Amino acid sequence: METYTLITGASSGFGRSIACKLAPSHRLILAGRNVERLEFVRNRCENPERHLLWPRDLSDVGGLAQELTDFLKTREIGIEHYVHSAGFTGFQFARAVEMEFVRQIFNVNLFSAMEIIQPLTRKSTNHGALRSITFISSISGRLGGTGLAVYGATKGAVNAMSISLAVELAPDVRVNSVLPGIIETEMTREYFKNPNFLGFYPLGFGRPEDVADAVEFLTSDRAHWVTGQELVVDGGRTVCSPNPGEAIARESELNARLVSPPRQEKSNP
Amino acid sequence: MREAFTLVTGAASGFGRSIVEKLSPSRRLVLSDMAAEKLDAARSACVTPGHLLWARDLSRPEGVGAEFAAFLAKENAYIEHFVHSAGVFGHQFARAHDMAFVARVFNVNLFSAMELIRTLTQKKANSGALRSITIISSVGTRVGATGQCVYAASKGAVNGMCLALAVELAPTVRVNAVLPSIIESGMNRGEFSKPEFVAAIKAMHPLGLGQPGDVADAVEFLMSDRARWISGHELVVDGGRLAGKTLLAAK
Repeated sequence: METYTLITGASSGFGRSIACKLAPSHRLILAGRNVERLEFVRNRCENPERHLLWPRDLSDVGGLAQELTDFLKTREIGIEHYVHSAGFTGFQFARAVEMEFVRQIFNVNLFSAMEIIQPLTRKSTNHGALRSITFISSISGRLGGTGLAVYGATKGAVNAMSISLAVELAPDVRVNSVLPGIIETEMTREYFKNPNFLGFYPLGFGRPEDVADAVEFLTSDRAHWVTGQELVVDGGRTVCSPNPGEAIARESELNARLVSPPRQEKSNP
Repeated sequence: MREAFTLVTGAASGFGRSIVEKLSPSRRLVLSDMAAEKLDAARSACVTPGHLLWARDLSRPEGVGAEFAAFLAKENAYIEHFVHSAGVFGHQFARAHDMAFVARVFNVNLFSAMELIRTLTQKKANSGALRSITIISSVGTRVGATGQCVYAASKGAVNGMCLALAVELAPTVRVNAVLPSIIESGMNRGEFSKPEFVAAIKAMHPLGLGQPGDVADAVEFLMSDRARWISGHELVVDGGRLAGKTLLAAK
């Protein structure tokens, strides 16, 4: 049985970067909403012919476990590593929380992962092939922010789920999460307009590749004794609480050092 | 004149019942739970009069916020402190996740609280009266256990929500969570009837078995003015379990 690494949210942001990082050494299943965008990512990866696509909108979790079961059974393949990178964010004040938004964000960030893990941990479907699960969480599970109650709740849930799974699925499966700070992706681009951001990031802003590097490490055998951990990749954000003067000074220093223009990515179809 | 109350969900049993006993001498309470008869019994046990009852099943969160707003208007009351103690617990293995169970756990433990907090932070419903939110979470967010994935996820969500709300609602409202370890309550009475289970629990906790009153004490402190500079905090009430877990596991 050939085994694969499943990456959700593979068509953009961290997911795309993780796909490109793992493609040389893993057979991938790229999951995302839009098949053209997935195709675009596959063609940017090394060995595109080895990778499969699974177009699926995770904001609706009904039937998800069964669909994945069928996907694996018809191809007679298994999944060795699972990276849950699908996710979305959004600000909503407590006084105006809409339950439809809550339902959607929990479906994508959390409940879809529960549905996916179910067949992956069943002998009858995945034949004990699973070795690691890696969640993309967020430092929002550690830091509060206005308008972030719902998003922060989804990521707090992911962190707590991963420690319980780490105990339940040991010693066969390792379960970890990566907690990035805010990194510029399609999802977060507009937040970067806030001029006060940079002062809170001692190492400056990160790139999606920084997250992909962490995922690659946690997926690999080099992390074979690492489970239930939250790997923070945030340029120092969570350990930095500057006073306003410091923040402003650091920001102008970092701005002065940012000589290279933002990286240009090939545009999506 | 409108009167100030403390809303306690899950008030008829377990930690909620104990919190009601602790707070009722000094505060006027709105007791909430799903069974009206049990709520009556909980109120009858209070030594002071004047507490209100709001019977509502929080496993269906749709409309909870609006219904509670109507309740406040009818009773001419507002809420100064909110304690979310309602909770659903259960074991489920990852390979057998049942989404109906997931929905029930998240509806009671998290989404109903979001519904209530929306109403409590709206000026027109609660007149800006809210001063504190205290949510019962769990040490299951700090240590993993087999079959706990769904329950722990719901409590991890509570912790994440508390942090964000602590920032968003400051300086008027303080938001904190209490993280108890395993304590005998309505949820787990069956397990606690087995002597070998009790012995194992005792061995996990350097300070011995906990009681619901230990959680109520922590809630009372966090709500009070003595905690006026504490927000976004996770107060672990676990008889030293987290501190001692490595050594004890090796025994």
